[in-house]
Amino acid sequence: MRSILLLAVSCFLLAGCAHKIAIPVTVPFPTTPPELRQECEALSQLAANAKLSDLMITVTENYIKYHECKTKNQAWNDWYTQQKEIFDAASGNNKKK
Amino acid sequence: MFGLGLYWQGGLAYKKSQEEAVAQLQKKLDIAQAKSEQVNTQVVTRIVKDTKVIHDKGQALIQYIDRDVVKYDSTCIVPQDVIDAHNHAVTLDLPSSLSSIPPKTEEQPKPQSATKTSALDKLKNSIHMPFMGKDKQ
Repeated sequence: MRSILLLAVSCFLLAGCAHKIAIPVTVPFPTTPPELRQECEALSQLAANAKLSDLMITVTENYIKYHECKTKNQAWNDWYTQQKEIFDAASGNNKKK
Repeated sequence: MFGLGLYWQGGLAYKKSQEEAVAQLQKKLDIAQAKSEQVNTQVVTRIVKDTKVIHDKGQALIQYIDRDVVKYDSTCIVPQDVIDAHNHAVTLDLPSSLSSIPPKTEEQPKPQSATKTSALDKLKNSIHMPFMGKDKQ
């Protein structure tokens, strides 16, 4: 009888070690800045009977738009890479293969 | 009483260790958030700076065209086909006439041995060589 009581008490005491409560802290991935979410501008077209200078200006404007879009795209890639490194380091997922 | 005290003590110790872990993780997250904000600022600053540089250079080029290329407007007339080709490239709409053009096929490379032989024959014919069979006849 006594040993049964001792066993019951031991089980009761050890039950406290069995369960593990999850830590209530979540790591949200950062939101993209609005500057990075802008779409690329539409390219310009030539009007009928356009002159040589009009052609050159339109082509130059389109190249400017391309370079702006390229810059934003590069910045987005850099932003994502750096944020992912920070996020992985904070959440403990930075295991390298 | 001793057992109950031990149980509570264990519970308190566990709670304390959990709180410490949460505090440590929260501290880690605060550092990560600060780093993240720093990256945001850096990236946005770079976009603004680079866009301004691109815009300024573009405006300089347009000024150059307005100043130096305009003089060729009267001598170099841009054909309507060129304008259409540019606009089709912008919209990526293929012109209707393009469907009648057969697709360009790659030329088969000529066998090199045949080319070399014919060149050698030409050379043989052009040079007088008495020891060759031709002259013996």
